[in-house]
Amino acid sequence: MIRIEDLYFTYLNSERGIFKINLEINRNEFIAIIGSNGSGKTTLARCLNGLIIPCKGRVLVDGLDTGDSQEIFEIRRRVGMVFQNPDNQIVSATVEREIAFGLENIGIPTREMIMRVERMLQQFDLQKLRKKSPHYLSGGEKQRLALASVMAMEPRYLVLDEPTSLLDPRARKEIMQTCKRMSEEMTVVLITQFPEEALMADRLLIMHQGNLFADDHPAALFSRFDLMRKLGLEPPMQFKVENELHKSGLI
Amino acid sequence: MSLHLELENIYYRYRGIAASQDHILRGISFEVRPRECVALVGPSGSGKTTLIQHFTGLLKPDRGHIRVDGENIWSRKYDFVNLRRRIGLVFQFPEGQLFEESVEKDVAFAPSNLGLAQSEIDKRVSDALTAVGLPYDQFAARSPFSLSAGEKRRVAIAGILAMNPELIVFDEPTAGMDPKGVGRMKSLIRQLLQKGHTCMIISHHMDFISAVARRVLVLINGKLIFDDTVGELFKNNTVMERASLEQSEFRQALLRYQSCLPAELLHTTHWEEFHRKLSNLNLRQKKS
Repeated sequence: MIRIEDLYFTYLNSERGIFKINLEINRNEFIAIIGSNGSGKTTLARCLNGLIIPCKGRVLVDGLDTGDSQEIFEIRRRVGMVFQNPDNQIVSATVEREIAFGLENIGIPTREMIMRVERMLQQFDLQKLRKKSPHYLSGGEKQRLALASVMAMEPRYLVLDEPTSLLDPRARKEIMQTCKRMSEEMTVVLITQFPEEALMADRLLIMHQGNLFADDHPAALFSRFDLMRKLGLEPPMQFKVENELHKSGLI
Repeated sequence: MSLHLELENIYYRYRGIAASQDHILRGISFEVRPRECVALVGPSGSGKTTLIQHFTGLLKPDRGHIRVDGENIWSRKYDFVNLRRRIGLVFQFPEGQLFEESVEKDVAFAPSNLGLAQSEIDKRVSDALTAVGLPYDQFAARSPFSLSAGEKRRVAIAGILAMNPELIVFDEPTAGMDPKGVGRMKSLIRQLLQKGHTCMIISHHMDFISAVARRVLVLINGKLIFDDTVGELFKNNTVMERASLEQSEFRQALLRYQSCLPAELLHTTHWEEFHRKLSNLNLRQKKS
């Protein structure tokens, strides 16, 4: 479990940040986080593996405090993170080495490593690109590679910060199905701008101006059109169309 | 503003470390006429970004011709500086390219290099910032790095607009944007078209594309397999399937209620159109 207690963080010379968040993320939960740009979603995500250390309050990953520099290695091993812009996390010279990079760092034995690399290449449809330099992949291919590299490490908690923003519709659907499946054996925290993706989660958090504004079942929150409008968010298209047709008496 | 872009039988293959056996672009031909808004879609890795880099001569095709206003851009002594002023490319996550210490300086960078008078530069910076919804007074003096991700993206776009390009190419402009940002992006593009600019948009976001573009090009494996309206694309299951496309979220939602919809609603292509027609319908019914 990840436990967030009275978390407070502001950036230097900025009013932006997150203010007093209390939250428990349970094992094998699939949580989606939505909120407008600048609402604190990414900041919150970065607190989960100690990339950001709280100004006040604490974040405990299975009881390990992210503020404790002795524990940070173990925390990052448990909490895998995929960033929004894949260029920010790709470091290796070829696709297969990129997937192996994290595994080498955590000391996975070679045989096991090879198996995991193969599995990920297959799962994320990267076999044909395995010898290529990531630098020359397309945006969507890089995004699949970033996901594969983090999933290869089999973290307990997987934090995904808008991982599908450059993917084509089918790849996006496949990644979401993968997330859903993965959430049976690991916790998935998904930050997204796509309401249809958020709808697949077990639990939906809404961030607003640095606060945790709502925490409920996705369908329950998305049905509150007034709330969505107030926060500048969109319910899934399915909800919008249904609502309009209903109001007009067509269904 | 009357830029006319024409591609004829373009082939391209990456060399060096990125070398591929096959061509990444294979015989692509199309033209973009002045004041059009064209969407370019297709699976990741199909060659979309590679293709647009040919427009300004950033990549040179192995075969084929690129003509702007009838002139081959790879003819001797072609004026690339002028070409790059006339065609603006907004790349994926363009906010990564910001580097100046203030928003004003960053947006002014390109016009300053065009050798324009200071008064003209000032005007362009202010107009470009207004166009992207960042009022000059509030933003000009701020550091681009103190802005939110959405604001940075808009500063980067303003930097391109400040060159006053005739054709503006956006590569995944809405990636990572919240609904408000996407709405703002839609109005920006409509506004640019109204002012006489030509736009091309690469996006996987079908709802966004159907709201702004009429014509859509579909690329798979470096080949252009479709060039028609968005409405026709949604009806063409073969192309949709081959190009890993999905109906827009709007169309998917609408089709669930297919049986109880009047024809005028059933054939709407995007949410705004649907909403408008439904309101009209309700109004008519009230009157009668």
